[in-house]
Amino acid sequence: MAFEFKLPDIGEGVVEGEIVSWKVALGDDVAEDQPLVEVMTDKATVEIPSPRAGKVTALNGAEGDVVEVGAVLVVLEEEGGAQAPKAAPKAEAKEAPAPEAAAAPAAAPTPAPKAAPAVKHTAPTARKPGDKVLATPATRRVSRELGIELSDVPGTGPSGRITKADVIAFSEGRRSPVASGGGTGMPFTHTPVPPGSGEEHRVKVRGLRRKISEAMTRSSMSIPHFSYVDEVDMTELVTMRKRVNQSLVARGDSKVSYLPFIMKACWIAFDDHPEVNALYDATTEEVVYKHYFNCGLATDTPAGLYVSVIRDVPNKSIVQLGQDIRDVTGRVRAGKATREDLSDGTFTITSIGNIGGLFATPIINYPEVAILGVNKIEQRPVVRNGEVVVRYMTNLSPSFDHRVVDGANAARWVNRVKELLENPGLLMATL
Amino acid sequence: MTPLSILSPSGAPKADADPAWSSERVCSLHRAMVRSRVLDSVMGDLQRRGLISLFVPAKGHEAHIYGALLALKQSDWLFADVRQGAAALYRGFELRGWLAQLLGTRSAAHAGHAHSTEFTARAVNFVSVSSPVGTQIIHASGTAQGMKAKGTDDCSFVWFGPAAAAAGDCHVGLNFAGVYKVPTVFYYCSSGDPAADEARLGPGEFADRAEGYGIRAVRVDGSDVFAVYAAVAKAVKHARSGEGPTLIEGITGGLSGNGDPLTRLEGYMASRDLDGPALRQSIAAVFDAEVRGLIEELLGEGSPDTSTLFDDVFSQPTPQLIEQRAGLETHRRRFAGGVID
Amino acid sequence: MPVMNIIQAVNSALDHALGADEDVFVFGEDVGRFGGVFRATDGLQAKHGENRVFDTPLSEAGIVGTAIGMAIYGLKPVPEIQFSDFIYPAFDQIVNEMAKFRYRSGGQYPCGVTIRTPFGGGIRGGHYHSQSPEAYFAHTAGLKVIVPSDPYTAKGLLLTAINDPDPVIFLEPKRIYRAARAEVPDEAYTLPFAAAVDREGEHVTIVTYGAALHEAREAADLLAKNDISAEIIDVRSLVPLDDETILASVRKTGRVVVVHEAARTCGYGAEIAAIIAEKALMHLEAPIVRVTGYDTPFPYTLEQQYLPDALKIFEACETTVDF
Repeated sequence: MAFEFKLPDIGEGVVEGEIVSWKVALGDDVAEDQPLVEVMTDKATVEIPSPRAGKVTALNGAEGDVVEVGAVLVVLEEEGGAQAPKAAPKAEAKEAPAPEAAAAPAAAPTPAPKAAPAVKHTAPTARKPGDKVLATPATRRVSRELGIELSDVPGTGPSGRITKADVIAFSEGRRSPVASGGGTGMPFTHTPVPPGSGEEHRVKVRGLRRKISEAMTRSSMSIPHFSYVDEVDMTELVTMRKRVNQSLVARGDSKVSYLPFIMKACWIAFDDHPEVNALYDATTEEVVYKHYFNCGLATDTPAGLYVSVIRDVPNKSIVQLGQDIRDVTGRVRAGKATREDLSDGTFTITSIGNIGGLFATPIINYPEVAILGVNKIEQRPVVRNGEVVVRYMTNLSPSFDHRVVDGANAARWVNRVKELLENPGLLMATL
Repeated sequence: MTPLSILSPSGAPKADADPAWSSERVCSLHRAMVRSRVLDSVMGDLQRRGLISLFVPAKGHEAHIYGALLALKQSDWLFADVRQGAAALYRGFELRGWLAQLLGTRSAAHAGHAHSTEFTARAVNFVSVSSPVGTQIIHASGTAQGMKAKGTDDCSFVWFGPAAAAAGDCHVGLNFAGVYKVPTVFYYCSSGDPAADEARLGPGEFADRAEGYGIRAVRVDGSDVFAVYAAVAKAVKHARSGEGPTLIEGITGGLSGNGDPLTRLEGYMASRDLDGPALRQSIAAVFDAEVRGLIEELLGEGSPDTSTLFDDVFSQPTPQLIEQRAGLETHRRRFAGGVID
Repeated sequence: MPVMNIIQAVNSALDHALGADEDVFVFGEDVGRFGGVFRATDGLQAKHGENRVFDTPLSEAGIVGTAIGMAIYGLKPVPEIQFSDFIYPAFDQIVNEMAKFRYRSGGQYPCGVTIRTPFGGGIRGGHYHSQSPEAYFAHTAGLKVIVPSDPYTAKGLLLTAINDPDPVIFLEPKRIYRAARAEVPDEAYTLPFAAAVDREGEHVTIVTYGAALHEAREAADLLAKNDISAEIIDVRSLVPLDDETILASVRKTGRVVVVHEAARTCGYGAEIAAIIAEKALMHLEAPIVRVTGYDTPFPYTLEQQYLPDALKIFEACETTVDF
């Protein structure tokens, strides 16, 4: 069966890439994860591995060609008919932020008060049926008081231990309304399809998929999300960035994407609204204001969705941030991420619109308080001074934790970000 | 050192040595010794019946005990070992209470905390007895030091035997007594078996050790109650006048030596036209009945309440003791059915 | 208010006790004329007389046995055992006699002796001048075991001990005899036999007594720099133990580190750990950790390695927080 491998979205508003070199030839048999092609984007040159095994039956494009994200790059003929897809290439819309890999035990750099290092970003570890439930006595007491079966609760502590925060989050999740399509532990019931009406097949949710599923559930169940959308006139920034990149390239440096600018704008806007750069500790009911800014970037990788973390945004230049983004996401994609690459984020940005769409309603990276969805930049007709003109426009679609951020403050924060992006000179002047 | 004796082996006083006490006095001494002998027999029975765990007969030691007691006053403190428990009775401690302590029944003053030879009688200044041998020797010296420091003319009196005499505390007690010149009479009762004593203490007279401590020493014929009395009286006078301690070595009669102290006293009584054996018989019969009657009565009263197990550890129980007591009571209520203590 | 070290505080307490009550007697080796090898009884004989403050032969059994004789007679003897390492010849007198006099006599013979003795290491004394024997006595029913941690607690607790009708083993942390200084009232005062919160905190409870309290304070400072707030409980009275103060703290923080110099196995910390496990289990966020001396005789050259210090306590607290 023919499998079409499309150029995957690597996030950060990347819309196209240039084929640098092919790693396989027509007729080759490739294994899963075997490098197919080297592609250069705005931000990096990445080696893209094959998500499937098969024989190369088509290579679309020559070295040097620019290919759009989503365009079919390679066609593979798979062996043995229909295979259960493994970690499929993320061609779907990536509207959700990914949890960090559970591989890095994310201990807080300094223990937070009271619930000590409770503020971890580790994804729930899969517990197999029959596994002993790990929980400290204090956690067991809390679960007893809340009337919760510990075996129902996903654990984020070491070795899948259930923490007090996990119990409380689970408890709050059960009390909030069921999101559409969301599971809350209720049995899956459906009307069996009458024979002959169609096929179905089941795929066990395990591994990273399961972790993502649990993180999404936990986030959407425990955080009261609200969405906000605004459009931003990126025309000046587009121009400025082009000129900046020309100079950078001429000096032998790599280009920068829009992301460093957006990160800086967010940081400056945090000044007036520090509650947007915060975490919410449900066990102590405290907002943990962060006086630093490590920015998470939703990163699609062959293994799945991760959140790469770019550290210390305020103290790095735009160029440096660009470099960091390349380095960190590169490591994350290659499966060589360090603990720092995947933890301690205080706010997340997710690129959404490369494939399409005007805006989305991203899910916050628990236990952060906000997430910024960045959508495609495209030319649109807008009205300026009574006249219809064509400008480079984009939509910002953040989601906020309504326990911590009020609608008015959310709007004001977005306004500030918008102001800085629409007037990049002001952004530079305020750095 | 020749042991002091007043009586001849038969009991007749030696020439010019007759203590010339009143008949009442002689008879009261005799009565005490007879009753002591009755208690020995009763306790032997109780032990055979399994009602007491241990008893140590005073038989053969009556002169050590009653000859000494007669020479002491009520405010002098008594430090006994497991053999001299009846001394408290002589001082006036109530018989019923004494027997309750012996049996460890409900009305025992120590609530059965101590076992059958470990009497306590503060009311008559009889210090509670403990099983570790010789420890009381130092206590006697310490109490006497306190008496001296408070300026009283009281003294302390301590009995001990060969086992204690070989123990470290004996040396320490005598050493301290000599250093502080305390008003204490240290009374060593030999066992009556010289070979056994020699195996513990070596050859030589025990009294000779006193000199090394700077303490005056006396040897007495331990089955001659008058000799014991005389030696203790002199030692006590010595102590009260601030001259310091005395070590008395009482050579016990019995197997060897000079015979049964009670018999010898009755021999003396004959010389005073007092019918010792007849008196012994009647006194014994009455006392025996009294004692056994009280014992049966006491056995009927049962054990002390379980909660008394936790009494008198400290002046006030700690929270831990209170909790432990409550725990045991709860446990017993659950499993004891209809049985309450 | 005057500032005193522990020696001065002890001396002050004894001076007050001797002056206030003619039944108080102070004695031991080198206690009288010399004033004590640590100078704790300095000047007392001259002031209160040889009858009340006197020297004894070098015999711990004699010192304690004499004290027992005086106590059952109704006096208040305060003997000193020069180093707690040498208390063992008196062990029979302490355990079999002193501890049991009240119980075996149904309360007829209270035995209110207060044995003062310096304990603990850190003075380059090796294993015969550094021992911490409190566990032996805490385990003996009928004995009270008191450990002051500074001059203020030393004076107040000692005065309470002297007037307590029960036998007390009063262990003085000799390493800080002079180093610990505090404001101590001139007048007589008593402190209850109870634990005290030495410092309030949020994340972890350190339970300790004696010289180790000062290490705990230093550790707490280090922890604070690492955003860990430690609460410190000074036990002071091992018997009778004020477990409620300790348990209240554990319920608050959920994490416990118990610290003592004495060897680990069957040290008093094991008792505290057992009580916490019995009564506050469901509040524990991490296992109970003990920081103690090792199961070796007290070493001479490497004594600083042996002693539980601020860094060991810091690390132990960290592990409870990171659990």
